[in-house]
Amino acid sequence: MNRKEFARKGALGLGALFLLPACKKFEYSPYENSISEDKYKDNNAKNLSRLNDLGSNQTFSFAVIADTHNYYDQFNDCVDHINNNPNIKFVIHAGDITDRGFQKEYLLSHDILSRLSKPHLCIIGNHEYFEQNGESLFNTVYGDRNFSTIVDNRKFIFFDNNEGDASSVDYSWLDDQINDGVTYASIFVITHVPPYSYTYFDIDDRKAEFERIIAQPRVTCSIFGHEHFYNLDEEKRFLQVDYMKKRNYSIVTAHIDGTFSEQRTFF
Amino acid sequence: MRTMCSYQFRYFQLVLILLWTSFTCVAQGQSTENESSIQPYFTQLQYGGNLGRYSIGGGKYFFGEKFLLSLHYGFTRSEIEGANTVHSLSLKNTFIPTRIMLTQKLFGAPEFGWAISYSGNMPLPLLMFGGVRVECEIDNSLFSVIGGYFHVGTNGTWLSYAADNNDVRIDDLYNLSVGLQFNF
Repeated sequence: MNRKEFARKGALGLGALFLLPACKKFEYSPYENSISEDKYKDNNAKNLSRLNDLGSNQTFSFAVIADTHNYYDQFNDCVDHINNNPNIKFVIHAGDITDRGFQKEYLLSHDILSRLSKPHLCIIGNHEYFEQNGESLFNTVYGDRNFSTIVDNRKFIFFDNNEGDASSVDYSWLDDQINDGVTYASIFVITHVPPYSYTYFDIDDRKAEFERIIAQPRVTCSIFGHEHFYNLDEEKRFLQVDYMKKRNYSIVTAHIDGTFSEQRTFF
Repeated sequence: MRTMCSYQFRYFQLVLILLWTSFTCVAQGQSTENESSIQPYFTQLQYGGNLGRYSIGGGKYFFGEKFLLSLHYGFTRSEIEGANTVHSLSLKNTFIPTRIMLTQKLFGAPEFGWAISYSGNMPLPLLMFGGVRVECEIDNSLFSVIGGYFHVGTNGTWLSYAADNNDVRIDDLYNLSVGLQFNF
């Protein structure tokens, strides 16, 4: 190969380098946040708009799943099971969508969640905070860490209480959302961490504040993930949802009289 | 919940062993002064491969130009608001079992290897790759050889997901990278 030929082929090679970013198989870092496809962005907002189209039901049911981490097989089976239940109107994921907060995990999990035929809303779990761009990835894929919505006169409040991981946990926002001066048939509070978690160990004042807020009579039920076991405390109105590895989830029914009932569902 | 899984501990042990083998290779290379004096140093520019969007590294050949050990700095700048730029420092090992002469000064070779990348996080991701390279000998130049390579790689963490889940497809696991190498 002479110099001229080498230079020509080299220039062609360099030109090809400019086409590389178009190929999605070039991973830059396990910790990157380079999500650009619209289908992976702002999914809570997209699903909230679908929730508004639910219509007016007297009584409706929703499914709660939690701590799917990297149990992708079980997660897929769970989605199939939920899709086959016409009584479930929407799905709530109570956090720990990923195991480490990697972009790869967000994409894998989203691809499974997007198979749901029903609207779905996600809150952030402590595992989403593990890696350096985990929180920004949650913001990209799902949106705000704290938000609320009203479905047929029931209020759903989604609140990030990952103490020690979140940059701030704003209990006054949660209190204001519960006491907004409007009368609802029921109010559901969904957080990843329950007040009895080790996360609240040694921060008794913040634990007491959280317990005080969710103990208010206006709160119909508080729903948690994080602990990897199931429990329903009817006295405190706490629903602890199991993790995905055990192949079960909860179906909560919001009755028109303001009460709720819950059914643990195995698949 | 946050727990130290047994697989994470085994993974950490594996990383330590691989680090040890790398430094053993370096130590052996240094012990043969005559041999090391004729083995070229090189620099690499790489795109992708989980070392960073762009990475630059330098290293040295060992064992008759069959083993390359290099240290890379990589960065991945994010244009998404609120996302951090990821800086990484990686130790990369490449094995070239054989070279095939294509023309008088052009060689092709298969290669494979692994890298450990540090970005301020634990455990360190173990990156594995295999591919091909082309090397061209250059006369009267700053560089003795200019080459390029193309790798298909994966990440040990992604492989652990595949091991645990039938639904994680091979298409979800692999990534590509390309690079240029200049031998001094």
